[in-house]
Amino acid sequence: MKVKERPLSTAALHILLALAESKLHGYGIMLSVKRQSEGRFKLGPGTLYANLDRLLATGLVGETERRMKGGEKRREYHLTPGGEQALRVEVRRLQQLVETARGLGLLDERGA
Amino acid sequence: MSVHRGLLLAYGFLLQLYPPTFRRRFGAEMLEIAEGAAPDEWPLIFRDTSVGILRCWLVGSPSTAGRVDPDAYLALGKSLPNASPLLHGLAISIAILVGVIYAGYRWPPPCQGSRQVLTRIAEPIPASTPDPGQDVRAHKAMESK
Repeated sequence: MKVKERPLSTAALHILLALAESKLHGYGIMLSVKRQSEGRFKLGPGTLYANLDRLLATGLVGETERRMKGGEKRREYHLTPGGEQALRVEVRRLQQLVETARGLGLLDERGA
Repeated sequence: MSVHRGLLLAYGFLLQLYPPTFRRRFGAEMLEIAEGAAPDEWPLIFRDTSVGILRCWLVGSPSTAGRVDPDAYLALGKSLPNASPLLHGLAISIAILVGVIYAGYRWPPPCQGSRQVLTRIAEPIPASTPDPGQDVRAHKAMESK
């Protein structure tokens, strides 16, 4: 599958990063994003599902239904191979951006 | 009814404003997320969902693209009225009504200058101040003589 080189939105990037760890349901993605960003990026349900809808449609994320103990179904989302490739492309793009910033002396090595 | 239950009910109404296809697909999950929300998360949930609804209607989403129900707003057609568009219309009407009432309650905004003028008008005229109508009355009395 050909992955578009267009940059991902911040929310989409966070969602893909969360799903790179494991399969998650909606609330799990929200918690994972909060944890990964150390509370700096809070994802609301409106943003989460609007982005999931787009990521599902573009095939970067897949969904499966899991039956819980009580018999209720829960939808879980996972990263597809295309999604993983898109994530790698985006991380590489951000890495190049950081290298450029470092070259210009804009990046404080202490992380401040 | 607890505050949490009331907020959940309000959130359920808010979710009714999503396009039906999007709501059918993600509505239950969104409500599930709201059920587990902490009190300090509610402002984010309401704000984020409201923006999401506007975006969904204005920009569209893959769920809604090409799957628009032609009879979504046609309650009086050949088929029986569907509850979903009626609820949808009710929710929008309530939202508009609340907005109008709130705007009426807040309008006009409190103005410090106008309050000062009103206070001055309401104040009694001091006894030492000459009566502005005195000259006119004197002139009329002279003319009548």
